[in-house]
Amino acid sequence: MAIEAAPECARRRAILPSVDWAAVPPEKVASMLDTFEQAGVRCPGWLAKAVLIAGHDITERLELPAHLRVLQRVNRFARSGEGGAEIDPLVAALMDDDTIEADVVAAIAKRLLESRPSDVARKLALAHAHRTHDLQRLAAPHLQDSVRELPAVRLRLTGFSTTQLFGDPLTLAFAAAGWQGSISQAEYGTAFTELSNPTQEHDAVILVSDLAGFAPLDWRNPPEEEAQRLNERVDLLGSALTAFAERSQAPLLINTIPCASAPGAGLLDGWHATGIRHIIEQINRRIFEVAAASANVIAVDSDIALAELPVARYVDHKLWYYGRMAYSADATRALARAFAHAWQLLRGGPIKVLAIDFDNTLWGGVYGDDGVERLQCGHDFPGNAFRALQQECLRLRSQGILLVALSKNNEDAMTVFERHPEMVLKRTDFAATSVNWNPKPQNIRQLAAELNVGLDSFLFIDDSPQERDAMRRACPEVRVPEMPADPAERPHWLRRQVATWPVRLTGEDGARQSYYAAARSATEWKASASNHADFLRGLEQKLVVSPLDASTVARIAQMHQRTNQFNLTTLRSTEAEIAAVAADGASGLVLHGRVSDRFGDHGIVITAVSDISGSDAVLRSFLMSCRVIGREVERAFLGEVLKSLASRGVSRVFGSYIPTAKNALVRNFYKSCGFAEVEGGDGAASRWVFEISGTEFPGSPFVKIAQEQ
Amino acid sequence: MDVEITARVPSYPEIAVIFDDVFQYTEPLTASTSPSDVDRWDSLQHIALVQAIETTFGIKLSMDEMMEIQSVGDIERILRRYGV
Repeated sequence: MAIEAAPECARRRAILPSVDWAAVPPEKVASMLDTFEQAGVRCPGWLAKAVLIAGHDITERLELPAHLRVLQRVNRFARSGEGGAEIDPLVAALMDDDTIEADVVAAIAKRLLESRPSDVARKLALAHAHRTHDLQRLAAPHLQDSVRELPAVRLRLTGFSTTQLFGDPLTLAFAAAGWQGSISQAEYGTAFTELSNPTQEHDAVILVSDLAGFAPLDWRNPPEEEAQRLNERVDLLGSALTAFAERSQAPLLINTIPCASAPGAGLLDGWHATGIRHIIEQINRRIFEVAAASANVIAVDSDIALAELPVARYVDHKLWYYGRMAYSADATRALARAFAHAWQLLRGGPIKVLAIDFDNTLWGGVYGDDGVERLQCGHDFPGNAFRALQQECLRLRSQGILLVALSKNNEDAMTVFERHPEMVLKRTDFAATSVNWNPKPQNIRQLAAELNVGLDSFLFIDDSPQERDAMRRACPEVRVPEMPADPAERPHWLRRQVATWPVRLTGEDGARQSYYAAARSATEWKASASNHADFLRGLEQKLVVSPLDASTVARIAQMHQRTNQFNLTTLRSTEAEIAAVAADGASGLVLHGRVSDRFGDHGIVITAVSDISGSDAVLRSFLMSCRVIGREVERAFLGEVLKSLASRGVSRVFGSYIPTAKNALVRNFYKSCGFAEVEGGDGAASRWVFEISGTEFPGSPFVKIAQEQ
Repeated sequence: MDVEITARVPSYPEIAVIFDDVFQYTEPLTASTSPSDVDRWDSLQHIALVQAIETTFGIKLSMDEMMEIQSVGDIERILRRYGV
């Protein structure tokens, strides 16, 4: 009956909210949804959610938010076994998104673990285990399976109060962060002893601090006396932390005292001797001072760690009186996660590169459709939210993270940064750009090669769920967080991305930007140098020539695929072909050169592949990245190649020039390097030979040959 | 007056799930099941038990109730008091 009256019941929120949907047969649920459709009433979200959590596979015609659609797919799979392959990437999107309702995540994880216990299901439960008791319960039984392959970390756990309840949440949080943590608990109340006797048996010491445990206040004493006692205790903590930092190999992770929900001095709380906030700030200031002075002490900010919880729920007071547990279960899970994040950052560091989409990410609107003038970015709503995100990007840049543009646009979209007056970011803030219509996964791989960093060092932000999904599928190493759809949420959201948090800032971090902007700086500097020779001399170029190895073959193949201008034969050799030439040292030689100059490292930019047959050798390919064209690097490198061939008993080296639409630049390259023409001529393919007779090799006074480290 | 409810399965099936989770205890429960029957039911796991009860039933127990729980029957009585 309720089913026939469903639209009316839903409107009045009557009966339906209390139905146990798991006990309702699927056909009844289907007929209820039909009644909504017939009545022309939209099935309300709360009802769809309840039905989905109960495990029903409801019609796809319903408009559902993304996370509920995932649950719907999972339900379908659990019931019929259909669509399994599609589930993993869908679930991957939910991994680090704490804005998804915990009960929906729990339902997805539970059903997946029951019907299809895969890595991704376990990972989902683990990634959300810090959120609720239910999710922690779901993840815990799969812990062993989840951590089997992970690196081990031995943790020592101590604190000013009882730390026992931190054990399980810490193990889960470390597993979620990619570590197999084993925990040894210090005796109750021995934090100071632990600090003064660091052992070598642990990889990290975790000190859980809390106010009541650290500074039991006794108001039988006059406030001034208590203030004095507190000072002494804070001094003791400061010197104990410093002493630990000096003696211990392992780092110490200590959380700050979180803010209190009840004052000790009412409106005077922030400054009076009896004020709780005043006391907390004194303690925290000391913790921060030590952390600033020693790389070995990491201050984990509890207020940031607990930001998603109401302050009044940090403590479960009965647990404090029962067993001196300073934090509620919710707060314990959140702090455990913050410790695990701190360890992970300490070990892996933050990301190195932020890859940023343009349209509707850095500015509101679409450049190709709207033109420069109508793009939203400025001081007014909603452009101010985009502008604020640009500011966050600049902040990250100042902290050593490289910004790269990764946008599907015509190349001239880069001019927006100069042509739109309100853009905070400028073209020169980007260490590299990939603005074209190629798939973003393909572009990000090229950017990684160009910047010489791994894909796992990238964080990719894009407003398009399709682009994020494509990136996750093609480049699972790249971190692709779900970005809020509302631009207003994004600056704050980006600040909360743990992967961007600096661990330690040094002069290097600011300087790194200029290293990577090497090519660009050099170009600008060239304009100011009085002549080309001065420019080249001042560059202080170094060339390191090395033979091919397993770690460089991909880059060499990629150069063969991509290089058009400085490419003598434009042979598009594959990784396997190049490896095959290098495999037999007697019949082949593959060399490559890495160039650095006063502006930074350019990475591997030049390569030559030669076939050797007795005393003759043929340069099958010779090519160089356009980033270093016009610096005589090619002359120096060719000289090294010839010397290397000579040392293998080669006396004649042949080279060819095969013209294409783009390589006219190198038509006379061999000639300029002392090769003699064998055949060929104007506009056609030509063949050249270099007779190795004495010590005369091409070279450049502006390129220093450095030995490989 | 409390009705004597010994030797009867608990009227809340969730309790058995909690005992499995918290204590890995899978024997049949009765109202008199107490720490002397359940190996892992020590003072520390008692907290985990209380937290599991609170989150499962959406209630918040007091310090007194925390002390009051010495058997499955105590848990049932408290739940009834909360109108769960």
